[in-house]
Amino acid sequence: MQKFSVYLEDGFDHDHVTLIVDDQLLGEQFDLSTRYQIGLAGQVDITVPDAGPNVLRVGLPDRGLAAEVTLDAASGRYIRVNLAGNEPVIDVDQDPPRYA
Amino acid sequence: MSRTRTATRSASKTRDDATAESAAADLERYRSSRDSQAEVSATDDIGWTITLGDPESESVIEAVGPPAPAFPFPPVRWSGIYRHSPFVWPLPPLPTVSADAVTAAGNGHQPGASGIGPTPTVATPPSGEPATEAGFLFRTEELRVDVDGLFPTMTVSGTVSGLFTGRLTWIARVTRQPDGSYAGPITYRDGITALRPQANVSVFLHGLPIGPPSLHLAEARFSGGPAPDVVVWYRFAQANFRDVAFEYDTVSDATSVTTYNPTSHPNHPPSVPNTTLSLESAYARLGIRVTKTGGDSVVPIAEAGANTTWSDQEMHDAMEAHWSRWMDAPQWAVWVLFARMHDMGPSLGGIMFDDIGPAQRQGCAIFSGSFISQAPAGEANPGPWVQRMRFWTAAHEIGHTFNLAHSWQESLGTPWIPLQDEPDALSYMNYPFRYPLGGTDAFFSQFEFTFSPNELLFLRHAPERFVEQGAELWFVNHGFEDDAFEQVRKNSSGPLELAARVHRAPRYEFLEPVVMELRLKNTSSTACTIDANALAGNGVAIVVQKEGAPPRRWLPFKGICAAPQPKVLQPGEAIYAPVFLSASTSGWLVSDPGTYRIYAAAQAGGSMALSRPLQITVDRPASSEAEQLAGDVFTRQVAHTLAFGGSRVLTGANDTLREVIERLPSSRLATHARAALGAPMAEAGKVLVLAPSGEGETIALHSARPQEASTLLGESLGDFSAAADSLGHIGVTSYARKLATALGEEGNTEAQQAFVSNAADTLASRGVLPEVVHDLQQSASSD
Repeated sequence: MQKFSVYLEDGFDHDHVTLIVDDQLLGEQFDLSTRYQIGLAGQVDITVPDAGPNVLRVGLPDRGLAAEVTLDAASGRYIRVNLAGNEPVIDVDQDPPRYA
Repeated sequence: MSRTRTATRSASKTRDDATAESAAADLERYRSSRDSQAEVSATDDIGWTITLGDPESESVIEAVGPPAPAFPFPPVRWSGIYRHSPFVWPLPPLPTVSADAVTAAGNGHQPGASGIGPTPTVATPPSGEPATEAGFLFRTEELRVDVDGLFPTMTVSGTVSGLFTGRLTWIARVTRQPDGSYAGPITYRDGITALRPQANVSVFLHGLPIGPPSLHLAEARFSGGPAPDVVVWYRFAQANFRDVAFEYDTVSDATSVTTYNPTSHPNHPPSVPNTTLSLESAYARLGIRVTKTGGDSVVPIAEAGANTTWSDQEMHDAMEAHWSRWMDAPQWAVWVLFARMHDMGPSLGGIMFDDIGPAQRQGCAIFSGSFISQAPAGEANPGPWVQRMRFWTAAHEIGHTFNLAHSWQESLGTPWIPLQDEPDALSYMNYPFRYPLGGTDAFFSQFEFTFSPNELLFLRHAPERFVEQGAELWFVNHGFEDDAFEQVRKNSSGPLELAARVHRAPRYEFLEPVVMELRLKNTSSTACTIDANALAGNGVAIVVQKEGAPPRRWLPFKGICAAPQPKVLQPGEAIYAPVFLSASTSGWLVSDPGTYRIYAAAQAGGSMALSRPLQITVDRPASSEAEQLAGDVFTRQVAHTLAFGGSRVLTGANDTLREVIERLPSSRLATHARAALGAPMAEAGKVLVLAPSGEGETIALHSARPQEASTLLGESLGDFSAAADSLGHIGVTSYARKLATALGEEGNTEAQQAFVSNAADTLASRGVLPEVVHDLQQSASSD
């Protein structure tokens, strides 16, 4: 099993967010809002099977928005999600994100 | 005077032409010297740098300024806050100048021999208001000039605060004009536009190039738009744009960092100051004067709970427990907690945690056990690297308490003005580790330990309530103000102190009249002269504001038209006046249940005194009887009868008061009602009687009815202390004299003596002045 950390960062405003991997709901957040003093709305850890490919779909069903990324531990275990221009943008980092 | 300025300019150009390269080198040396000096002196004041010479551009202005070795005086800095107030004008009065003189004057020009500017004419009140108008008298203006010094934003802004006219903050981005003025359109307004409706502002700065900045004057001409041109003069008040207090506390397992020398890590731009910056001086050099409060307390780690890491609520609790300035209300103050770790773990370097409750943005924390203390592998200078990150984090989190957003989030939330995100800003508010043009090292190689120009504009010029800690909620208008009264109060100075007070818990029964006392006291060390009627005439202004409702001005039922009666107030002496606050000529101001704030101002002795707001609460009706009587009580006639202490002619009001006594006999309103009904009967009095035909008037004499008076007054004042609570000290003393008189008229000397003795003792125990108590005793013995 592989563990990934998903950081839901800027642009969330009382949103319902789903994290789905291969049709399986692995995480869900309701009424999620960005705390702008740290630029973070919430963090969710997910665990996926070693055998891939595992495709993470980050959805905001109430807004009809979604974005996908293929999970690959070699590329990075830290998934940052920002709503930029009303579109989810996903970045993958090898190091944990930092906030202040 | 303009000739002097022209000569300076001409000489400067000659020097530029002849020795351009040398001047450039001088400039670099000067800038280095200036910046270095700036850091050293910044905490107390930022009155340094230079603004002489050619007006064509800021860089040339600095270049032609004499370098330190050739000029024996420190350079002059003009930026800062200038204030105009009708009550703090210097003597002799500031002049207003003719249009020609305005055109000829300029920044840095030599004022006349008087030292106060060109040909005096007549001072012009702001907005052309007549100087005798009360709204103008209870009004102050502030001008913020930001055109030189460190990181000038080339902005002139102002705040107009009127006690009865509201408040306006305006902002103009300015450029230096060939005539030496700073001019530009007013592009931002928050508040009552009518207070400064002109479209443009042009500012001349007057003063000597040497000497204290306190002699500097700013002459602002407002022009264009829907109102006539107006010239307002301001006197220099302070070099900093804001004053704020920082307090640092450290958790027992954490490390605090409040200082850093920007050159201690080799990766820095050449322009950074080679001196140790404290958090205080880091802000002071940017125009925010900082006072450090508290004693650097140690917060026990136990307050973080068993997990030894901190939640936002735990930090908020610690702030309430440890911050010497804690108050859930707007104030220019910040609490900084140095802790080891947040519940989020090492990925959180710091946080402005106070988005809790109505007064937010007052506290922040820096976590020494987080990533900010982890220098990257291979870093050659890990110590300075960590020190720099900790210092940056502290300045960054404090920036959030001023309502500054992250650089890349400035367009989000509710910006105070339309803002663009600045992801590549070299600002305390950007994350170095997310700097898009090269990350942490690239960021610090250019970072000058400052904020972006937009952020500086906000910090220095945005309406106060947007910036002040505890005022506007976090991220709302980030990037506004306590009320106009507070602004006027803060800017008022003089020997007199006005107090609006009650001698009781400020909680009132429904229907109970509110009687307030004004005290005007000489708090200076020298005697001053005032008008003995200063608290009784038009010199007093009172505003009553019910929570959630617009403020209403209290206007007395009677006015005094009399020649001034000079009265000398020795140091510590005071005059007093009762105020029947509940009702005024504009109706009942205090009636419904709820919380009310009362603001009072008085002009006397050539200065203005404003009280701290008095807050009172009116309870809900205690019975249906009280509710039913409200409609009869809250009338103009009843208000008149209660305010004047009784009436021989307002029979309808007297009937209502009798009904109150009958239906609400133990209420505090009944205390007022019995006193108001009894007092007119204690003595004989005259009544103007109109003939039934409407033609002709006669004076009728109403005889005293001492027995009825003593019964009513005796019941009203039976519990003398309770009566004093409700009627006020001045009122209850007046009624006590009448009761003593009535008892004397009855020949009931024994009761009279007993009553007066008890009343005097009660008053004395309540701290009433000995002479007042003595007079009451004497009035009884003389009857």
